[in-house]
Amino acid sequence: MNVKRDMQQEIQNVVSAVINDRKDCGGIKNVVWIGAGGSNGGFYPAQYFMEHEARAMYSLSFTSKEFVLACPSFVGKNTLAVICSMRGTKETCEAAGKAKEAGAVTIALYVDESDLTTICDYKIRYESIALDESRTECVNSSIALSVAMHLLARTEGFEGFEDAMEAFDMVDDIYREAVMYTTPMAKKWAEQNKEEKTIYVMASGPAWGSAYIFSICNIEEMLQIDSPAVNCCEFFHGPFEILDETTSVFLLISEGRVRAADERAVNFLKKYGGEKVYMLDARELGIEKIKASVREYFNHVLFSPILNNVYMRQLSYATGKDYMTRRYMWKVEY
Amino acid sequence: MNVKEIVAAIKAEKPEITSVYFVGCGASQSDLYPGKYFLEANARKLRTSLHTANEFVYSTPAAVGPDSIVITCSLSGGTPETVEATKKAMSLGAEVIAVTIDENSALAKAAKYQIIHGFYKDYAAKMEKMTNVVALACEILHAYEGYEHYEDMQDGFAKIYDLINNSVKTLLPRAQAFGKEYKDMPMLYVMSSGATAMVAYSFSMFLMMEMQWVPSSSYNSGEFFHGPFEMVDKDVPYLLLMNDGPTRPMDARALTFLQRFDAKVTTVDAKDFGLSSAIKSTVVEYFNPILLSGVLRMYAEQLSIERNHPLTMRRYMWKLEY
Repeated sequence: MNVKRDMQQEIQNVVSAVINDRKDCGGIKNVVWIGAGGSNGGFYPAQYFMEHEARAMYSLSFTSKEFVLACPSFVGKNTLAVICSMRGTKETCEAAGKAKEAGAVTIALYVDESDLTTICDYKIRYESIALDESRTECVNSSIALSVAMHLLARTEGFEGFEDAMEAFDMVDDIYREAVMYTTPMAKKWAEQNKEEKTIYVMASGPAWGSAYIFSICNIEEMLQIDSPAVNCCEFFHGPFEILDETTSVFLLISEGRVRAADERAVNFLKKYGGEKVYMLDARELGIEKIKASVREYFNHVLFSPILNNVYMRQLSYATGKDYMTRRYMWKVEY
Repeated sequence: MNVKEIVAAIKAEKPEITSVYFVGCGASQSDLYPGKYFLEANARKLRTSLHTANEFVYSTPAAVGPDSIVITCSLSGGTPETVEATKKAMSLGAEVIAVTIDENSALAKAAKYQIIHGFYKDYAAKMEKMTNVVALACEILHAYEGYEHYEDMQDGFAKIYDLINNSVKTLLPRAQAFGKEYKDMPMLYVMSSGATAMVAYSFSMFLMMEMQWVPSSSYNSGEFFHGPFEMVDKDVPYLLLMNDGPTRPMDARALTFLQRFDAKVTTVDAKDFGLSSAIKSTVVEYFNPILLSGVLRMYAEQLSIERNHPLTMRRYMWKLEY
């Protein structure tokens, strides 16, 4: 294996170039994150970070086709568009074209080169979360989060920047340890859920993106098992009515300001749910090794690879459904 | 005070508003989405976002402050999390507008301004909440930046309620057919796009799960092809809300796929109700959720009749502490 990539340096170089690119026309005033499916969900931590730290810079995320068909008026020369696609999903490439046409400066996050990397001004190669040899700080959602942090640090300022850079250096080790810790638990969970027709996934705040991806990509796309994703706060305004003693629920307990919302769900699920309620706490994954000033922003960075590589795979083994096969994706035209 | 009066009052006192936040829970959060979508699409400077109330309270966005407008919404005006979000926004110096049916509610009392609307009269009245929020978004945009199609929007507001009430007059047979066909469904997938995305969410979470106890997921039609479509198979139940507007191709693409693989799909299509005859094409996009949400009520009612499960029946809500 080669020398470890200096991922933060690569990101710093690109962000510097982007800022320099627009310094004579007002600078970067807003950032849009564009992707589809897992690539869209993967932007959630970056978007959450911006919303909770940026006072002036505007940040929004879009599913690719909607950006193409209903591109907002504000997108223009002061916009940074960060666009993610592993291999060049058609509507994501179209969205990149649209962003460029509107005047934005564009960064492609990619694994394989495609129209996306041709269209965009800058590109950063990421490592697929699903490969065991990938480094946690080099997957798409980590890179996007770091881009956001570098961008903010260089514009409004971000006090937690050094703590965050330190965290990116630690996350891979934390993840590997968490794999060891969660694997036996995941085996039990998978065995218990192998006949389940519906598995609810719940989370809130900084962990929401991880729940969304686990639900639509890992459980539905890869294993074809029904999986509604429910926000822990929203749960109490209706969806909790489906809960009974047989309901299968996978709850992510986040670390940070919204933990109280997850704890409220914990109490309710313990009282009215049954044996198929499963809870995974970010603290169990080792998030507390990260400095408190930035810890909350790393929930997704730790949850998502554990869900994809430990829990989903165990469920695949237990159900006998190969997570690499699809009915439609890559097979039929659509 | 009405929408115009409130925005004029805010503008007079605060000529420099930079952000608009929409905050609510459940169906009331969903009803805020079209207003937020409108502002996101058309504002050049104003920043906007939507939040479920407890997240707003626990992890308040960084830019909330004296140069923000915060719109909070709760039908009854009593939802505790939303009342608290209202108080939080007020304490941060924001201009806070509460949207509710009850002027004596905790929500109304906690906010600086109130939009008091109806609900019970007829099908259209149930959309007064959503429509008022879109009207607020439009008025704010026009006051602070100017909006080219302001008059077209006002024209739309004047026409949408009659359109809903007329649409439901001939809808009963279709709604009844839906009730009969779907009454034994093990789950329901609901989809839409653009301004209507959270109408799908609302139907799924609060009509299907809350009021019928049927497992249900919702997807943006664009996201469908990036994972959830692997659930499609013969007779799997889908409800697709089709927009008459720029995002229609996303819904149409989903429909083609669902029909091709023989899913059990019901479409509720804004085109079928003549939305673009009543509303100008410059702004029709933003009226789709109002119309579709308005007519969907009848589908939900008929489903509940067929299933013999009243929309008001609950295991937990109103019954226990949580």
